[in-house]
Amino acid sequence: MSHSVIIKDAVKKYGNFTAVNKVNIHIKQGEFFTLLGPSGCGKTTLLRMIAGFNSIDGGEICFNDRVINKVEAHKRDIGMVFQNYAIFPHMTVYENVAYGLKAKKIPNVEIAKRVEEALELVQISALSDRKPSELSGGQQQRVALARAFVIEPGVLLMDEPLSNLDAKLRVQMRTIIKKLQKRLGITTIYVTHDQEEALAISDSIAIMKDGNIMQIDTPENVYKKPLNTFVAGFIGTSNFLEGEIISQDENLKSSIKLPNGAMFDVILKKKYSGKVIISVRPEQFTITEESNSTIAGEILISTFLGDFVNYEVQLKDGSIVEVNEYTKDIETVRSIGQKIHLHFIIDKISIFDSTGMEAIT
Amino acid sequence: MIGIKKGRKIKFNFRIDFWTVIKIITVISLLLFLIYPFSKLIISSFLPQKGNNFTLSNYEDFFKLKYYFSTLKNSLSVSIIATIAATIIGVPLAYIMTRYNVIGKKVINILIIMSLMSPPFIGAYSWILLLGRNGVVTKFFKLIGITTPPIYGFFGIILVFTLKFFPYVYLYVSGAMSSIDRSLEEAAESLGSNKIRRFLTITLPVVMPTLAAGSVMVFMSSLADFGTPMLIGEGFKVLPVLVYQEYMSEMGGNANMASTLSVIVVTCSTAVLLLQKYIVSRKNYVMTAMRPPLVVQLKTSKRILLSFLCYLVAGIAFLPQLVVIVTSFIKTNGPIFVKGFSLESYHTIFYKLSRNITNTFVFSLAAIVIIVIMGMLISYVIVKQKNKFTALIDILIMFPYVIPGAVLGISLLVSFNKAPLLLAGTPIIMIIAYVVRKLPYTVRSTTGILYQIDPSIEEASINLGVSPMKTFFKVTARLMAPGVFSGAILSWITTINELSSSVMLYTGKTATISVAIYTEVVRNSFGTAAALASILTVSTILSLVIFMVVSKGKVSVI
Repeated sequence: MSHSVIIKDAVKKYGNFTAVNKVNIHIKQGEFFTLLGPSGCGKTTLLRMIAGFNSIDGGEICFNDRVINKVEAHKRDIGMVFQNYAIFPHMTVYENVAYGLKAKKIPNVEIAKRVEEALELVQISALSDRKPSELSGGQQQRVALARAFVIEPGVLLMDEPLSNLDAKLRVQMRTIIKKLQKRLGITTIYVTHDQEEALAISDSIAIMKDGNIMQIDTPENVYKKPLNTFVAGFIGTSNFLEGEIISQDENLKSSIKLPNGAMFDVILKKKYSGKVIISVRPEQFTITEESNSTIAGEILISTFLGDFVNYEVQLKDGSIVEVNEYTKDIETVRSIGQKIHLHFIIDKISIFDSTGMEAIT
Repeated sequence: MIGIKKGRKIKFNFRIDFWTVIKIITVISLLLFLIYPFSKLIISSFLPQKGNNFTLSNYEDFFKLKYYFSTLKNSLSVSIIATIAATIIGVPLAYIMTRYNVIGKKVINILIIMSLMSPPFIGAYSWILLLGRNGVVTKFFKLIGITTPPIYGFFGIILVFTLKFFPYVYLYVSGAMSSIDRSLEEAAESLGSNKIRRFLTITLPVVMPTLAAGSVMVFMSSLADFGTPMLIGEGFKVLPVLVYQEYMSEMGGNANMASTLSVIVVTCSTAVLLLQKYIVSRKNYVMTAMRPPLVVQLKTSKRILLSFLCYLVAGIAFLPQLVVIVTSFIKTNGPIFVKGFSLESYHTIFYKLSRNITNTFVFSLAAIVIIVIMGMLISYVIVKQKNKFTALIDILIMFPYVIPGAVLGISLLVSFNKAPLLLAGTPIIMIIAYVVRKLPYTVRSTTGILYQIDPSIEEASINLGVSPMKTFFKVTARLMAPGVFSGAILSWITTINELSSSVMLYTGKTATISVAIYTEVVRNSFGTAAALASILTVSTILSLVIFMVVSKGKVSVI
């Protein structure tokens, strides 16, 4: 039976440096939870605190309602998949997978059965007697995976497990991992710096920066409703435009002026005045001929990417924005130097306060 | 509930960590068998011949009296010249061996490694048998009317040191030369630099730090060597020999003066080592050869010529061991060799000197068991529990590298010659000396392999429910085994061949083969000495063969 994981005000310090700063997370039983962030954001540190390889300097971590702060790593009932797989080089594939079961003093007959099942699940039954040195990266990854889940741990931890694989294998493996996790129902905490991977694989994502949680939500919501400009920029691509609130009525209907003078109306969720940051994703722009209430620009570079075309557009003030147009919606790819006008879909964009720390739409 | 929780916590806090115990034992051993003896040695270097007043007179005497001071000059000059000569032989040999298609490289490498691993004084002894007053070669040249230059003294010491220690330079430098990326020299070539210029401006500077390390090994080994100058030096006296004589001589010797001399030797070798570390720390190129240098395929005649040169060097270096083995089968009449072969010498040693043989193997075995166990545990602490304290342990463990065996012997003698620590004259003191002196080999090679073991391998085991302690034995120790093994073989070979500390510490009952060879040579019983030396040589060769088979041909003995 897998656990829920509750992290309360968890702190990790290295001297004066705070690697993890009062982090609060609630992971439901059976959930696929991802810690996402740039390198050095504290995600791996936090994962290792859960695993028991890093001490917890403040707050507590609970599995179900049991505080595990002082429980030694080998008594935490955890399966972990490491970035470099950490396969025992002196043991065969079978021995690797059986290792954790043997430690639990499970009878040999049952060990054999469970190892076989596990190897079958990750589709490497044929490699059972091989030594790790005879395996490819992807096969080693499968061994690592089987070794971690075969013990039916309360929590499965994965530390950037796909980062050493090539792009194609990475996509293949993440599908295998996702299916396996759903099938076994093990609470899983997954660390990655790859936002696309996080979106593809997770039930929930926590985005971290400098030891702090920036947002915890479903993949769809972190993309569509980023809570701050960091998340807006980190997940997918966002263009940030500067704007200013000219007026706001009692229904919070606000008029916002762009630097080139164009104006638009939007309903904000709070009273606010002064400068704002407007975040527009490349596909939220539309290119029009109309010059009224639009942003004028010139195409600098066009990149044809199959199902869509990506343009770098230089605006009047010199700033550059990215704009996507779907191939199915257009006749031909626009040429470099073409003068265009941009329009954006107002109810899809995000607007932040002037610090970028808070979403106000 | 609260009660239970508390109980658990207390248990957790009071649990004595296995590694803490290891650290405590290590520190106590280091304090007792290294720090204390060496401090005792330093203190006694400031004591007069009689009495207990602190004085500088020993040091004053050393620098004033030619009798003492000349040995420092002698030591430094033979060490420096031997180092230069070893470099002159070692560097070109390394270049030829790594860059050209020399025939039978493996054989040459094995010959060179064996000459490095041979008992330290066998070189001197064999060269006396060949070029000495009654040497085979000397006699041969006398017959045809040529007088060969005397082998004794300065020239002989240099000859022996150079041939014995050039393998350090060769092995270090050839390692570095085969890990230079080909593109470096190709870049120089494309910039219009010719072969010699390329070697001087690219290849040589890049291998310089490694060359420095190899040369320092030659220098320190030459400075510390006792057996060679003792046998072949005659009137030409070097520091370690003087140390021995001052301490051992029954009349006129000054034990405290021996301490003073010891401190001076250690100061010299430490200074050289620190200088080298300083230079290397400023000029270190980390190389990962994606594309190792090409081996030039020479045509037949050139290939044979170069191969012949390599065999010549390796052959001369290996010659002493052949000479010893052949000599051991020659009939003797007392100290004189006569025509014909026999097993007489072996007969004699198994009757008279079997105790020495047993001693060598029993003491070495005891030492090696301790070395392997301590080496594994200490290496683990040094690598996996890195902090200032374990870094200090690391430095202390390596300190015996700069202590000549004779000096270590004296320091143990002055420390453990009274109750309750009366160990002098016992096998225990010999074993202690071996462990202190040879442990660094095992620790070096074990820490080397430990740095390569990914830390997450251990973590993987722990989170699968195996305690850290069990993880060490089930996973880490197994992965460390090759490093421990190759280090242990080195420790073993150098232990069975150990002379310089044994010769200070032995008594009639604890004398080893090396000591017996030395005393037999002094007594002019060359036949028995040769038979004893052959036993050592064969044991060494066997150990090396095992080492090579187990390490699957990947020979790295340094």
